[in-house]
Amino acid sequence: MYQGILLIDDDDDDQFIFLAALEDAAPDSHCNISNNALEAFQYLHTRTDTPDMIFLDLNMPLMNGFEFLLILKNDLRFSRIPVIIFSTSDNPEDQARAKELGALQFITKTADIELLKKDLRYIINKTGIMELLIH
Amino acid sequence: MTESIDDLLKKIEDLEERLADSEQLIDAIRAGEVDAFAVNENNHPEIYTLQSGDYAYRILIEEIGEGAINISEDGLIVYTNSSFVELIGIPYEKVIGRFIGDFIHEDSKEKFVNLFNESLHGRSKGEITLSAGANIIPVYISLTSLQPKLATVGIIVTDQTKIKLHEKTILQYQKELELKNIELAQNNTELTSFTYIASHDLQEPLRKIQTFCNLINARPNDELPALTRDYFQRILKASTRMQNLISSLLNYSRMNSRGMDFEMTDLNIVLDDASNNIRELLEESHAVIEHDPLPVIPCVPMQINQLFTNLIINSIKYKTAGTAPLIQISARPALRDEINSQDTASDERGYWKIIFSDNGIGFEQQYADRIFELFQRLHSRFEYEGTGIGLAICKKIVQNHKGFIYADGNPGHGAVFAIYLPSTR
Repeated sequence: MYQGILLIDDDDDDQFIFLAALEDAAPDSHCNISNNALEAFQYLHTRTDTPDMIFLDLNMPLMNGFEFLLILKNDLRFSRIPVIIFSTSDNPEDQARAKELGALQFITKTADIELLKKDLRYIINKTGIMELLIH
Repeated sequence: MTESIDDLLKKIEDLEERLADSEQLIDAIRAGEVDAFAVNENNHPEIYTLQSGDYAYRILIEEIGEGAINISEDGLIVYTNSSFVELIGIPYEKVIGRFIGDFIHEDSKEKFVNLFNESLHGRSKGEITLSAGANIIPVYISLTSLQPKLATVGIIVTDQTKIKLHEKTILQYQKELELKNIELAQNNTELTSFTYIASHDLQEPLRKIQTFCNLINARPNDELPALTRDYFQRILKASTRMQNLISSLLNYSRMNSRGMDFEMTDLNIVLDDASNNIRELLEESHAVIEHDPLPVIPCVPMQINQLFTNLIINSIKYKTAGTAPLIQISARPALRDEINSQDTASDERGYWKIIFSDNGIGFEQQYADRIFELFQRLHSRFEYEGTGIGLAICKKIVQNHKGFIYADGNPGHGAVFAIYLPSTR
């Protein structure tokens, strides 16, 4: 199980929805929240323990998700942390670009919280991750 | 009588001799052997230029629309035709004997001198500007040295005023067109950013409304009074409708004619694909689609797929209650008469006419145009769900293909949609 989760999202409603879904899908996990990508870097650099998994919004002020992903994947300290995109976008181009930059999976935000719970259960479960890696 | 017979005879002989000379000259003139002769009268030589030899050319030069002048090697105008006089708007007697330089615009003087010097070795051509009084006249001149016969230079002067004016007009149009293109590009950029905003920012708050309504609706019954639940369900329904509107509108704005990849496409395959996409709807409604063999035409398959899909959905939506929808699709080459009434129809192209007819509720013919307009609906939302975009998209797609679409309605007897699509590009 991936227990230490970092969510990077500037939208407090989405933070709320994500936490509600996570609580149900993976009750043992604990989630830290950064309100934007710069704050996330600050968080990562001041901690001795790195998160097990990062959920990353794309459309954020100052530094967007793609820029964050590019820097993160080029930093040896953090490049191995699995990153899941969590975005409103359903644009195939965005999905392709995220994959290219090393994102593990792409979750499009929907109005259905049950769907999000299902995705989270699948992704946070280790076998799920292994399957994703093989694909 | 003071003159003797001998004298008279001598005079006759002299006259006969002169007559013979004259006859000889006349013969020579008739034969075109001479074009001028000199007569010595009272010790004053006088030269007579014969008209016969260059008469035709003279008339030609006089009557020609172009200006024609002859200038001496020091620039004096020794001849001008009437066209040149008209061109510069100065009387004949004030042109002859003047220096050509007096009629050349300050900016062109150097160029003229160069052309003139060049012409002394043969000929030269170029554009200069004449200036006479208040008239500034752009002209094209071609200079020919008449040496060695004459120590003058002949100049044909072609008025360029109209051409320059046209050039100026064309340049002006060109500039306007460039500006319009820039404007258009800006509009397109704006449209793209609008599309982006519509697809992301506008849907974002809507998704939140739906999410929280879903969360509320998921609460157990004892926590939520029935009336409250009903309100939230209404909110959810309204926001879902808004989302449909936004995505239809987005779909409409994406159906622009930019970046269209035409390919020869079998419309039978496109129709099959379209039917497959909405198979569930077809099964649910027990709709039957019958179709003739459809042609292969140059088109954007994705767009024609959307066109067919929208028309079929439209027929199913407005079906006659209690009757399974029957959609019949036929195709034949369009008749010339059917096409000629169209302003935008091409004369050279052939067109296919593809007809979708159904057994639905139909509509009043007076609304035949309105149904293709954006957001125009003939029914209230309570009767039929819809965004009023589906048929507008159909029209846009057909227009993107340089075709036409018409609807014929008969209340209670179904609707007929006729689509004309070019058979060649």
